[in-house]
Amino acid sequence: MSELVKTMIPEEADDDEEAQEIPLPNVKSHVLSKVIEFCRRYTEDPMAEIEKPLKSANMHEVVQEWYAKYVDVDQELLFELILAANYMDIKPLLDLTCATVASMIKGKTPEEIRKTFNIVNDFTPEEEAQVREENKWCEEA
Amino acid sequence: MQTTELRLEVFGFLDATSVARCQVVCSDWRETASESSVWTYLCSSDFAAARPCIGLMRPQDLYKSFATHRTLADVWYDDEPPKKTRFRIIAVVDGNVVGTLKPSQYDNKVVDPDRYWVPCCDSGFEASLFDLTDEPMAHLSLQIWCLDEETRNCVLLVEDQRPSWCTICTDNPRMAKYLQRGDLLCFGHSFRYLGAYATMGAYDPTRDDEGRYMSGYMHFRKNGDIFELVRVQLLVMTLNSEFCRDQAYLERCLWRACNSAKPPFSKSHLRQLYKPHNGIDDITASVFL
Repeated sequence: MSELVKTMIPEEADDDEEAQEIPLPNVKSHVLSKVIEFCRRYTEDPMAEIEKPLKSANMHEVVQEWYAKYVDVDQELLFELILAANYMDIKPLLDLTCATVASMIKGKTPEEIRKTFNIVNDFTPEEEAQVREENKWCEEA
Repeated sequence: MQTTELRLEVFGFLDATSVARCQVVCSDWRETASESSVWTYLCSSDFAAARPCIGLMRPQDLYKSFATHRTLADVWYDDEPPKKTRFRIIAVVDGNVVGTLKPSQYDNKVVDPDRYWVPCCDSGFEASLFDLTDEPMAHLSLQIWCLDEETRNCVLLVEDQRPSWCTICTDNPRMAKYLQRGDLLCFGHSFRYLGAYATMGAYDPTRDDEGRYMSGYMHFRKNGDIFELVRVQLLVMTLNSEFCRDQAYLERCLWRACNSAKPPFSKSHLRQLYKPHNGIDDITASVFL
């Protein structure tokens, strides 16, 4: 499933050959285990395509139960998974993890989003007033 | 892939309102979210077809225009009257320019500025499309571009993608004789039908006693928590201005479209928005250069 790993395996390699070591220096072992867990599951029961935009902020309503539970992890691991999926080029895992982050944003106010991701508001009061004005339409409902 | 690109991946899963709110979070998010603005979504969906000429305006200006006028016509004609003639509508079928609608042709068109904008429905324009093939029902790959003759910016207005909900695309034989009011047509077939019958002016199974033709139109409305641009590919419209002003009828059409079980009008689809096309795309460049 990983395009990166695919490119690392020589085309002429056959199954009888001795096991090959594939270096993945950018992926920590516990994250890699989690990635492999995803790949195994995916080969048995592929994840349904995630609809854009997300139809719900609840991942259980977006993907199958197993995948929803799979990404029910702390933020640190979730972001590590995003980076790993990106580095290893595993599109379904990248979609799942990014959608999970999106689900944490969906429906929240800017203040709630900042709190959720521990983001510092670096706008000056004037800038913030301007950006709020530009996006006023979304709060008018 | 950089952090910004990953953030874009995330924003790609968000609805327009959430993306707009992301812009208020911090300066980094503002920058990324504005790239992933409300116009992204329709383009990423299967039925994405109509895109207004928003590339000519910044999104915030567009919103202002929505809020003030709530009509695409006014977005188009936001400038002073003399400038409104700077746009040229160009039809591209299977990669070839097949016709243009000059400003003078559509400037005179009667549209109800409070409700909707009727896409270029000039008979000469559609006639060009109709003449392309001997098979009246054949599906064509159709794009409608808007060229700003002042800036030379070109924006894709309509791209027919053979959607599953178009009656002709999916049910061609029945369509030929039994097209009914309420059937949904993609833009390509809307234009084709209108063009065919406007040109032939003869037997029209879809035309009723009041001379209504098939067409499509766009409609803005405030639905739920967001201004939405709803592409309503439906029904019988007419070139008759009195009929166009029959708002009760249009409301019924819209209601029907929005409550239809057919895919393009599910709530999630209605939430999808548009993406600007700044500058000249490759295909357009090949057309104009």
